[in-house]
Amino acid sequence: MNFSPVHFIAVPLFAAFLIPIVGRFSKEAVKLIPGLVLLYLSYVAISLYPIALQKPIVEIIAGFKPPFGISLYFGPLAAFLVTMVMLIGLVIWLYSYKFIIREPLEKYYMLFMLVIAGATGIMITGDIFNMFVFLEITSIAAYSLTAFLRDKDGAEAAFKYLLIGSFSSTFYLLAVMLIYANTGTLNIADIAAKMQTVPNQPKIFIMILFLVGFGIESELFPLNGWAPDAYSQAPSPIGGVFGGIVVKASTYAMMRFAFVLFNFHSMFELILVLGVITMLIAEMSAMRQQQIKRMLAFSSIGQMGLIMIAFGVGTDASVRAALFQVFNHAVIKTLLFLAAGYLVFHSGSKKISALDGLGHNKPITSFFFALGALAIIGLPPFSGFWSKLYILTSVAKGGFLASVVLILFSGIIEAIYYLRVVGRLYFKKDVSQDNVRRTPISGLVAMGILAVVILYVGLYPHQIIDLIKPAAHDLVDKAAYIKYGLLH
Amino acid sequence: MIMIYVLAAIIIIAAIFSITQKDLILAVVGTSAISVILSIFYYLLQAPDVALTEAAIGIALSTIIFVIAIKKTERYEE
Amino acid sequence: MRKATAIIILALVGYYFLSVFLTVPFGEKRNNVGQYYLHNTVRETGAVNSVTAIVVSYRGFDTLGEVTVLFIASLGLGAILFDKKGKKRRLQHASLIVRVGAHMLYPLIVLLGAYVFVHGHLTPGGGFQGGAIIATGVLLMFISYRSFETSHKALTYIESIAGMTFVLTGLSGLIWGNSFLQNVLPLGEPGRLISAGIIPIIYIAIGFKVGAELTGLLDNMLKTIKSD
Repeated sequence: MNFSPVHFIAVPLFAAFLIPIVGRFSKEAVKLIPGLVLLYLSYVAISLYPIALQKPIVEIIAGFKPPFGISLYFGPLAAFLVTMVMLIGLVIWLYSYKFIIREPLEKYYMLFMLVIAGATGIMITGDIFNMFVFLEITSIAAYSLTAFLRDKDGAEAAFKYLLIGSFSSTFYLLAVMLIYANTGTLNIADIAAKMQTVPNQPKIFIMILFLVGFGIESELFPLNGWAPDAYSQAPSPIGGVFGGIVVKASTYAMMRFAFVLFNFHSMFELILVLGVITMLIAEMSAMRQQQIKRMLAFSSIGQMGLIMIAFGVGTDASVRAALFQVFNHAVIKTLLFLAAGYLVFHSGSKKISALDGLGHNKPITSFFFALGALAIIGLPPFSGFWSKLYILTSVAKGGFLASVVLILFSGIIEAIYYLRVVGRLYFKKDVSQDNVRRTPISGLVAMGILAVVILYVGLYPHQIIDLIKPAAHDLVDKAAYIKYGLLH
Repeated sequence: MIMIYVLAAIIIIAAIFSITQKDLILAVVGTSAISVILSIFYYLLQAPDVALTEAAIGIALSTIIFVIAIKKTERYEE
Repeated sequence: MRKATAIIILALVGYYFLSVFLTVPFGEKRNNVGQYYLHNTVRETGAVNSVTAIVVSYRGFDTLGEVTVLFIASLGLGAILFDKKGKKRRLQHASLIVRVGAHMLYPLIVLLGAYVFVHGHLTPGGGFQGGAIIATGVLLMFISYRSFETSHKALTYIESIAGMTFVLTGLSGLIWGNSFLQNVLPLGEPGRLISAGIIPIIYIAIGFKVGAELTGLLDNMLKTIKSD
């Protein structure tokens, strides 16, 4: 049996249905299954990558050609993002192996695999209603994982996320209804071909509905009220899943629709303005936080604002810079959340003041946190430096000089609050009494893999950029998408 | 034709009733009434599959889940 | 004051929504994918019920996703209510009329649900509807009798095996055909019970799965009530 993109969906679903039966016999086997699935899928992604670079793989489901059936579109952009998601998922699984000790374990691993399968589905599907189904899978698994620790704060955060996320699904569904009513088809490439015939008034309305629907999941201002609570109350590896995988899938979907379906100049400017406001408000809020995971959540929202600015400029160079920042932010923010997870565990409290002096007691975990902090501020020789540089140069070349000033300003604020935490880790007296518990090997290896990636990309950025160039081209090129998507 | 207007009016009245009630059990009964009338509407619009689904899920299961939630929290809104 | 501004903003947004949705003509024949489905269902899939053919055959991938969504909802509920459950339901015993009526109606309701999902490709209905009807029947028994128990182990097994059947049917399309979820069984004569290829198999699996899931969900929720 050859590899094909449908494995990314079918194998996690099969494994998720299998786990309850395996769980009756052995608990340890249950913990291993997601790792095996993610290893297999990473192998599939890497072996499909060269084929996707030559010509996008379009796979037909159920034997009926589009637009009458569903098709999956696996081009260079999808290959890039899916490989990133699989590798980050593998690292997070490794970390969760020893970190999650609270029952019910098998449900955690099932939900973990399903949220990754849902996010992957959003990235590879070529059908607009299929994307709704995967959006639902991702959202509902995310709500359940937010409330996993079953404390009062977790329940409140999950409830807020659920309420606001339902709006996201509803608006998206209304937009799909209008598109079907106006164009008569549900295949994205076919809709793109027929979009000229739609009159302007419904088109603008559909664009607003999509923006709100995906903006809620991508944490744009003012739709991101759920994000700080959800990130900080979920278990720490799940914070990494949200910030590194779910948000990226939703951003991909919004930009795919923006480039292929609409191509309004005003939509890009709107995204740019929203990105600037999101970034400023999030970074300034992050400075005032007292809890470490809330601070990381606000920082994540700010970084998404930065990525939106780069996408909003709309030129080829800025889209490449945005995709580079997507990759870097996913890796670095996951590392930060994983390190923060063990720091909170060792210090016993979520507050930043409880982290004083942990640098002496727990050197390796603190080192990883410091590395992540320096990388996300944008210091060389880490990967964050290159992507921020590219964003600044491409935004400046696009002519938005005010945005450049604001990006630099928020970069300074970021540096302040991150270096504040790093300083407290290393230069204050140790307040925790925890000398006995050590960070497990699985957690250290997981964080180490991410740190190695950050260093490698920082020292040799051209290898990643060679992969990003075709991915950016895939996102921007509407005619190629229609041609390949309709199997011409 | 007149029946469609009458049913639509009943839906709006039931919705307003649900929103303005202080006793939450009566509000849930209002929601269930909306589901009943909606399933009749779907049948009149020649979609029997959707009517069957709405009847099975909206009338019985959705209502019982709300009632369980109300039993574990407050019955009367403030 | 806040209520008034909220109502005004809602009215404006509602007016905008309405003006856009009214541009779509209602109920007339339009040129869309649906017309193709209506004309070609019996020939291509062998099912007489077009809606079933669309749900299971043309857009079967979406149905797999929806079954997964229901699975996640039931899973999430089980994860969140994990240690809040008692051992038995502590509701009151229902009155005599309810008990006798439930005892007589329960097998009929389960039979109706099974009929609906087995004949999904011939009559209106299908897996989701049948599963919901079965769950409603079990709910009737839960409310009437305190001692009616469903085995948690059996429900988990039914859910998992039914889900795996669906995915394996899809994978069989990949192995013996060209694509995931392709119809690899003979189509048969339209109108007979054994026809339409893999559609009855998938719908029976979905019927079992949805019934087991909703029953497990109701059982979980009813056990958390402490009677007073």
